[in-house]
Amino acid sequence: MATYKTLSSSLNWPTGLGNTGTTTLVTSSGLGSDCGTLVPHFVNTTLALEHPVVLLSFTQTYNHYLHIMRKMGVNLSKHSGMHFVNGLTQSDLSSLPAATRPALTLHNRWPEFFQYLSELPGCTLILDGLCSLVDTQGLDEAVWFFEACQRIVEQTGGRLVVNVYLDEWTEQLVRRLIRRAHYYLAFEVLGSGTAAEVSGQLKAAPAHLYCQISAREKEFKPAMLHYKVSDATVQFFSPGQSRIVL
Amino acid sequence: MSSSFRKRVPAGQAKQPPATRLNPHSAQLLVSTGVPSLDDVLGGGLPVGGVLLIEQDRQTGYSNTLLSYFASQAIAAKHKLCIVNADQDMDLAGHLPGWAGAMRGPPTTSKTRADENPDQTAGAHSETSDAMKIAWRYQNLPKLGDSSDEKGASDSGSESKFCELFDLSLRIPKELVDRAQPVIIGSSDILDNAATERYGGDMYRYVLDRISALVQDGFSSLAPAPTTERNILRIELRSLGSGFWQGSSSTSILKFLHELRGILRYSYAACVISFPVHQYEEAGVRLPIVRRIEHLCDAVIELESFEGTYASPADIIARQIKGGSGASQDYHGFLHIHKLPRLNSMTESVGRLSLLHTGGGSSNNLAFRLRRKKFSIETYHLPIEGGVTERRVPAKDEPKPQARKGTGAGCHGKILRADNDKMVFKPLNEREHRFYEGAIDHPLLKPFIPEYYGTLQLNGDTAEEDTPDNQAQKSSADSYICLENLLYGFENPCIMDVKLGVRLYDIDAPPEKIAKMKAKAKERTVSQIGVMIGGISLPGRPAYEHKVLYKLTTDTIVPDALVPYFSVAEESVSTDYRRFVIDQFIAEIKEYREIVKKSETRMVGSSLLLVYDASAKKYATFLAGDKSPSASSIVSEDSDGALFDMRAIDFAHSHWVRGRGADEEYLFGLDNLIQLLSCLP
Repeated sequence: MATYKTLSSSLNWPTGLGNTGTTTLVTSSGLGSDCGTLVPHFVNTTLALEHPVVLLSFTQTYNHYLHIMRKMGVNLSKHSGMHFVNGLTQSDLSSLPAATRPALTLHNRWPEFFQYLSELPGCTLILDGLCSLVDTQGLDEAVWFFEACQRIVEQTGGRLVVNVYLDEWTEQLVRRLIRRAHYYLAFEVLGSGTAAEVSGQLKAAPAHLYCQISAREKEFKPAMLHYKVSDATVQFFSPGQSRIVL
Repeated sequence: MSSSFRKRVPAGQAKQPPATRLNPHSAQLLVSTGVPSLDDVLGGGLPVGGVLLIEQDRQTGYSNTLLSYFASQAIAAKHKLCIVNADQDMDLAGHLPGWAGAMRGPPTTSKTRADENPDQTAGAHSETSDAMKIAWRYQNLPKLGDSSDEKGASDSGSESKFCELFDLSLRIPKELVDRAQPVIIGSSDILDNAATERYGGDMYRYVLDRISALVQDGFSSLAPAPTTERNILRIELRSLGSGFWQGSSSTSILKFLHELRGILRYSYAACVISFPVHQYEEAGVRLPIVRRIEHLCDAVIELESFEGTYASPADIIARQIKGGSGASQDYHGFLHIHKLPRLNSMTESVGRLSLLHTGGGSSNNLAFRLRRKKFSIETYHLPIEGGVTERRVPAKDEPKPQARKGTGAGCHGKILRADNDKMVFKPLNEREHRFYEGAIDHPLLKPFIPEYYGTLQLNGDTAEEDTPDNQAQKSSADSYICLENLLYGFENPCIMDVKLGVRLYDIDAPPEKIAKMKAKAKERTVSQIGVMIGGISLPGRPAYEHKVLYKLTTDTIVPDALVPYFSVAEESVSTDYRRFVIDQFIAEIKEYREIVKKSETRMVGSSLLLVYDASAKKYATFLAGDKSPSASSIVSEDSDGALFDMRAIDFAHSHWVRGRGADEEYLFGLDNLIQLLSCLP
């Protein structure tokens, strides 16, 4: 399933997502873990809530996500609420079939993108691989872009999810983003080594802005979970409980 | 075994490019890297649209071997090949591993055979039909061993071999390489064009534009499908990011990789990049940009060669002499998998499709080896304990293997010799070790001391008794210093160990020892002339006893030691040879004396080892080759031709000093030795 129920219940997210107007920072450290693991969850959960999703990817093509979601039983191309924005390449992708054609190419069209975003109230904006913007534009530009997106999403009552690969190179970016996020989910490789049954571990904690959430809406529970990625789903479980779950 | 069924491809559907296959789990198109075991590790092959980063081995060229396989596979599969190398201009001819089919020449199809010999073919067909009358359904199948690269027989691209079997002892013929028309972007091309105003010296930008143009020329998935069959573009970037690559900023390589990924994702191209990761290290720690580069690639593997990592020659030699240690003989290095491709999938397909890498921790047990004919990646197995040829524990009636001791002259304690006899291993003494290490700063002295190769550890070999006398300079039981075997190449060596200097004690020896050594010195020639014969070994004669030699006096040293030592030359060869050897020794010692005078060292208890070969044949060969002997011809570069040698040895009590001038006591001994040799008749 594309919606990770165990994760939602572990983090005490009744809707499967953070509160509206919030920002979730997802990082992955190490080459073995992948922060894109949560993209299907955010996409499918948002679509299930009948809200639009804008997936801006700096690392992969739309085809990549379509294949992943299809294995999970979700046909993204049939969802009108799904909007893919190409941040990977500056090539003209208008010749692609409609099913795999992005709604917009980000390159040199930031104002157009912001306009596009503002016209989708309540959407969940997923920035997959924002660290690539640091490579191409620089740290300040990447943070500026993030802040602009965050303002728009907050104004429209949506949610922002940012995926970043954490290493020494992007550490400064993550430090600045975590101060502007409400939730922080960190994918890591297992500290004790590698295992065939466990893909890695996830540490979920409130980020710096979590305190701004009103008390009655504060339901988030920090957690440390292990997870196992398969083609059709991602299973989360408490550390050491893989045998029970898998 | 090929099937008689042919998949009917709808007219509008694009045909699969040749020599590719689909990953059954992600429906991703794959191409072969040319190395079947590497394909296996990657989960079936390299994804089209993906980037494989090979972190190069240091000081060896195994990664270049992988790249040459990739290029050869491109030619074998008739894919378009583009090689970018900013380090040098490349000429592929004669450098790419070939395969048997390439050597035989282009095969002919049944169609071409029919055109050329219609009667023969028809006759053959009728014969075949007669012979195969019963098995009529198999008539149209190709015969076993009838390999055909021509596409006339079939329209399906998957008929082409996915991975050719390459042979490193063969080379692709030049005409095949020329026919493939590879695009080579060499250093001259890159330097000249990147320097233009348009690029402003940014080589990355220029190469990216070239690659982009190449992709647009028939390999872009954004362009309409061609009427002919699609082909694959293989891109090789050799040593990307090396010192030869210049960009507009320190992050040029990151921008390059980011844009390259964008181009490749919408293309029928696959890229392999070799990256000199060791150039991005500081104090053994990788720079942060390395991890960023790894994130920008889809698959990352690292080659860690044993030779490159363990750069000390002693380690290499130690692995070679340890015959039971299978690792160094069987494998040439480790293959580390850092990242595997996950295109169109959240998981790596390797666990299900790979034999070598089954996921989890199995990624850290892979090794590679380069044999004469092929490069392969295998699961690393530790050698059987004790080796497969030698028992670790000797049988009861089996004689215990003895450490091969050196001869009495010039040897102390247990000195081991390498199997090839070119090196000796002396129990490590810290002071001696430091002396040899310090000799690097005294290049003039180096020709007069044994060649030093470093230290090594040998298990279970000698262990000196821990006595109070040697405790101050106790050598590690397992550690040895590796030195040149000065006797190597001598057929009938005549050896003499001459101790020089007046002192027999070390400066930091305890007072009682100093007193004892002073008393001993008074009884020996050292205190009078600074020369003492430590040992003499002559071929075919009983060894001199130390106590006999030590009791020599100033008057007896010549008749009782030096004369008998050189008499062997006269008896075995000739009088002329004896004179010749003495003269050469004198010349050598004089030259050595001048070097020592300029070196700031204190060589206490050190010896001069004089060796000459009592071989008439060798002398005759020498005379026949060079009638005017010079120092360089006497001891040839190839030690097999050495007639004599003179080296200083035994530095267990020696050390380097700064600002304290030459060792006058040692020079005193050298002067007297020269005098003694000059007095010989």
